[in-house]
Amino acid sequence: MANARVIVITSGKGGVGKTTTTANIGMALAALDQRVALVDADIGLRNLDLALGLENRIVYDIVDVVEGRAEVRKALIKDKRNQNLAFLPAAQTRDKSAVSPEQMVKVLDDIKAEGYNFILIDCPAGIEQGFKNATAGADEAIVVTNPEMSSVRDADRIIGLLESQELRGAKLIVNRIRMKMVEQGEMLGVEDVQEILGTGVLLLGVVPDDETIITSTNSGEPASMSETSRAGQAYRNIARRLLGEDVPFLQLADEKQGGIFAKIKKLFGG
Amino acid sequence: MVEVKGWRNGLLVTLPDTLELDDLLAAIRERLEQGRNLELWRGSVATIDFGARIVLPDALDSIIGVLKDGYGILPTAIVSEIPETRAAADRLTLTIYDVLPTVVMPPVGQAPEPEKAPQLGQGNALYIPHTVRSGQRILHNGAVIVNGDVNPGSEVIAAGDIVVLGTLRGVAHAGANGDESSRIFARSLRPPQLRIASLYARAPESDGKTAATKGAECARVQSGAIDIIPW
Repeated sequence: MANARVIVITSGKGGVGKTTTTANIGMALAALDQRVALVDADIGLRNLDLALGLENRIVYDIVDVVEGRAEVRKALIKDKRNQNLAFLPAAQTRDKSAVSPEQMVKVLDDIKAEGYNFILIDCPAGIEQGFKNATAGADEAIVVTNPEMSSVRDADRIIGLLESQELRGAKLIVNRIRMKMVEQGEMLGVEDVQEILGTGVLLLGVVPDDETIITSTNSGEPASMSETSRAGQAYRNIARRLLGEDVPFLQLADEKQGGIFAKIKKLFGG
Repeated sequence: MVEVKGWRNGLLVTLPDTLELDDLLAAIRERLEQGRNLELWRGSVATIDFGARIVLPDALDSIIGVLKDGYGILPTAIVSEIPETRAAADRLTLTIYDVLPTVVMPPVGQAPEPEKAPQLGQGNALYIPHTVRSGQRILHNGAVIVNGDVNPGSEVIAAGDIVVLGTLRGVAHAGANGDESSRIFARSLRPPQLRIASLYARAPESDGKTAATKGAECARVQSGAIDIIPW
């Protein structure tokens, strides 16, 4: 019952794709018959509902739960597309101070009691109160970064903060990579990112920059539901890796150019 | 391990940097339970020496909670050079020491000797057993040894030498109190800027892709400028 894996999805920097990542991994895990609860911890800047296409079904939010107006079971929104997936929205009209880390832990315990396999927490950007709330009850962390220096530096800062909160073994997702630019030396490669963050940080996935993400976020259909989206495929692979499967990394280089990118394939470990 | 001894007008509690928080709390309890002075200590004030441990406010609250609520020992001061730890202590308006002030246990009936200022650059080396990450700042009144990398956006400032067993990509300032004989060693030396005493050197402008590392290097002051040689 109380053995749900509680994973916070965080980045430090804003705009690197935490919310999209949370929605997609959640949807992909649910499709693999896992019971998944997604928690939007970005109180005041609610977004995960849009990525999931559930904004018009919100009745209660996390602040209602904390302040006793609703039980967690009532506040959790069941996704009609997949009954395995549930979602606890953030409040849009309050701010981070409306929830304390202790209250967050209590909410997570209540969700655990509902028998979920996974609880994914969408962490707000920044390293202040919202970050503390979002990480308070987590026992694993996924750090999302883009292949550019400012995002990597913030990821590094976050990993340091997670370590100091005894949240070790953070896993890394490199999001929005463009293989052509990496090949031309205009973008950091996955290896460059890993070199800075150190070998202690396990690579969980590499997600290509993909226009379908924009349309899927706007339409509230996470890309991992689409069989044709490259990013969606990457997220499905990430979900399988979270379940312990050994899934090879995507061959991102062979998009239109044919197969001259042996060097880049090597980057992804085949 | 956890050490407790009489110090000044109270207790000095020295905590190991290595244990996880839960184990640390257990170790504190264990140490206090086995002491024969448990009742004597009740009502004492204490100074906690955290060493290189990073203590966040919640962890500090837990540690103080165990001492205060469990054993009636009231921490009033800490010893730490770690910014996060100092910030947490500052929030509780505890007295904060950089280094342990010289221990003075005056014999009965004799005036205590005035404390000597510690000799700069002569402190013990500080050993950091992990990578120093962005936003972290290591300040030490002696040499610093980092068993890991020093990442971009972090700073290591030492009164003595700095030794980085991994890659140095952050800012390193050796001999920060003015000692020009201090050196900076790194297995791979790729910082944006190096400082020794009051001198500084910038990395040569590059195309962003830094050249492959040439192996371990040492930066030191040679005729008034920072000079880098193989190590």
